[in-house]
Amino acid sequence: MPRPSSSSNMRLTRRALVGGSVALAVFGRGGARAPARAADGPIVWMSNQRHDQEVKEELFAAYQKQTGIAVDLQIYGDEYPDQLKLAFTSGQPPDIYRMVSPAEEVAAGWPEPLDDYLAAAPGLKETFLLGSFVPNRGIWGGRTYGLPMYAPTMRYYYNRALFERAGLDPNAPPATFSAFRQAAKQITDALRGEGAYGLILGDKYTWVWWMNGECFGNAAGAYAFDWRQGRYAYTSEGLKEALRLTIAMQKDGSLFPGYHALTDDDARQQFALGRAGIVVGGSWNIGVFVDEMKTTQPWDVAELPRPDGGALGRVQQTIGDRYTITAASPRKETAWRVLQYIYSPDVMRTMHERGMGVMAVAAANSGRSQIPGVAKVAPTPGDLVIPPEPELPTLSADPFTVMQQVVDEGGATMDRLLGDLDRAYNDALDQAVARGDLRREDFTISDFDPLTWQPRNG
Amino acid sequence: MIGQARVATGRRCGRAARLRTLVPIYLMVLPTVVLFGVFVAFPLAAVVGAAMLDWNGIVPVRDARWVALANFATLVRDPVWWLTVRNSLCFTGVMLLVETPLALGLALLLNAPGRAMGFFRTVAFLPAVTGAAVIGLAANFFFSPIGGPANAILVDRLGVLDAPVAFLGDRALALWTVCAVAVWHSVGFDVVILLAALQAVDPEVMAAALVDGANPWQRLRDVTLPAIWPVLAACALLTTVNSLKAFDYFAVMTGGGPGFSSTPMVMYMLRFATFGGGMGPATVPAVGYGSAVAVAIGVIAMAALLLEWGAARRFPSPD
Repeated sequence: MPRPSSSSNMRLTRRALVGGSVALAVFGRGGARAPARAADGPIVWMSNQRHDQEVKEELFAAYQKQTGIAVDLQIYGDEYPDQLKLAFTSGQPPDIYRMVSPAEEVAAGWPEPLDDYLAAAPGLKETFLLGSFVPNRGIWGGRTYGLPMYAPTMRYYYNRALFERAGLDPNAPPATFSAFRQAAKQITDALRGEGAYGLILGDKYTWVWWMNGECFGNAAGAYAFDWRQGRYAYTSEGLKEALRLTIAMQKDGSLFPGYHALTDDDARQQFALGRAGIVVGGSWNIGVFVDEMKTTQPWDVAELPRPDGGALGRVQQTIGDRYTITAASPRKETAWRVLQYIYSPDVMRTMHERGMGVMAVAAANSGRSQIPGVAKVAPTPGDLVIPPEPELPTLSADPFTVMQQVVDEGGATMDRLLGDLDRAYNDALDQAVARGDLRREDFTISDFDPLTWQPRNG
Repeated sequence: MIGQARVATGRRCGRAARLRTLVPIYLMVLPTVVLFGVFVAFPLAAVVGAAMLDWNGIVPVRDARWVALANFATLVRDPVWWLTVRNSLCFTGVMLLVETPLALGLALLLNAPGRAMGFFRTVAFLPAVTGAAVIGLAANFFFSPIGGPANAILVDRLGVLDAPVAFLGDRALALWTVCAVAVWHSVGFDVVILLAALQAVDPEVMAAALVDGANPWQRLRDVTLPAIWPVLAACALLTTVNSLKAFDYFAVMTGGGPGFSSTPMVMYMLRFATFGGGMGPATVPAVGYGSAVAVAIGVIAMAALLLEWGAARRFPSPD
């Protein structure tokens, strides 16, 4: 879908006559620096990371004993972005928060630049994975904002018992697309009578196609964004190959039935109950299976399969969950001390070894843990911290809903649907570039090779 | 001179008297006007204003870009928007053509005398006292392909289906399943209103119709319906408004999917108002575009109400 024309660049004078002033009055201080909380009381930490809440509470309790500094964890669910916006617009911003849309938040003046703090803490910046601080990811307008906490890797989780019962070797999980398809089919053929299927996904909310479509395409050398050209690449052959794999599995009858009516949580629950042989997910799933679902099934972890002809790319490892000090906080120094504590390698290692996931502090990912699977989600040469992608306004058609439709229609409309998607995103990108919102050269790496490219900090 | 002075004095007295009469009236009306302005007119104007901006809702509105009617031009060409319009109109159509007649039928049945009727009236109204979100959650369970009662009955008990059906996960069925649940949920509310109207029908007129030899159909067509017509029209108007802005059933039961097959207009609007609404790679809200969607929804709702109001006025009055 094309975005609004960029031709009208007239400034506020005319807008004020029509509705801007009214909107200004009603939406009021949206984005303006709000008066902060009182300077006493605990440091307020706002996030939507529920899976690590318990561990963080323990860590912060220990920190309070050591230093007397209390941290009030305020954890929200899906409504987090709206709650965050409300906190800022109502003059009650937290002291530390998880960034959601960093570029826009920087433009709105919400986060505090961390350059001076990092300069006063030599060596801290270097503990993070390469690629954590590059323009448009960690650096905006030449200044550094936020510290990344997690760097999840993508894996598939499989049920060893179902594998064995279907005649598959649980110690040799499928590594290629065709072996993956065959394994799912074998499990379904053997165990359908008991209500178990080869692969489950819950795409009631279509973002799961990021894991089940786009990430599979990465191994085939396809990424949503082609950094060589500085353009979106939804028509790439690798993505089509990945979608054809799912279409084939659907035709085999290997997909858990009724998956459009299931959420990702439902799918993971069914896997945890032993009703599916395989589910795709990120490194965060360990905590979900162990702590939340407390599964008794013998599950294991493997890297996503590669195309039969060999890998043409590496699977994306995202660097996210960026926490920052609020610019309006009256206790920035104290907040920074809290951040230094939680990001110290020892604390990060504790979180990793307790199954919270892959941390953005490189040295924390020891792989040592009593919790199964932790070693297998640690980054490998098959994982790639991809370069940043542009941030665009929400479009009407999103890639994951389109991927779902492609699979639903058996691939018959794949070229047309992916072509439309590609056009919509590139049109929006062209308009953003024309408006001056983005610079294409910031997202262009002419020698990008997904098998050899290495990230570096900017 | 004296005469002119008397006239002037008289005018002053008249003006003063009028002021004495009008000021208290204006003062009494003032709170309503202020509240209307603050809570209705102002937000409406703000939404219309925001619809003409390219604004993400995060940066201050003064930094937003003025795009005039570009958002509306984009909306007109947006195929997903038209799909959501279709979905909302289908939902509204089902509610009007199924729920309202069903409510009338049930009200007619429940209007019969008898002690047991009190029980049945309560049963009919029970779903209406439960929130749509709760009903939606229950429907999720009821229609689930994994052990849901609907599939258990259709597959195991009746043998009508070979395999479980994902009623809420099938592009062809999701919207209609939501419609069915919504009809069941809200019919009781209309039943109560129509029942009250039926009980207010003049028994003497009905007795006269009986004496004249009118059969049940004639009594319904020529006595009952004209007598309750204003209430029936009000029910239809309320149903239309509520259906066009329906969101909760869809959000809980289908999330608007699969794809956009059960996304109503209001859900589409919200998609642009929140972070990651597009769920694409790194998207930010498009509050300006979402506001244009909101304005369009308002226009459609107003047009539907005007049409319905026009149609209702053509019907002969009970007098």
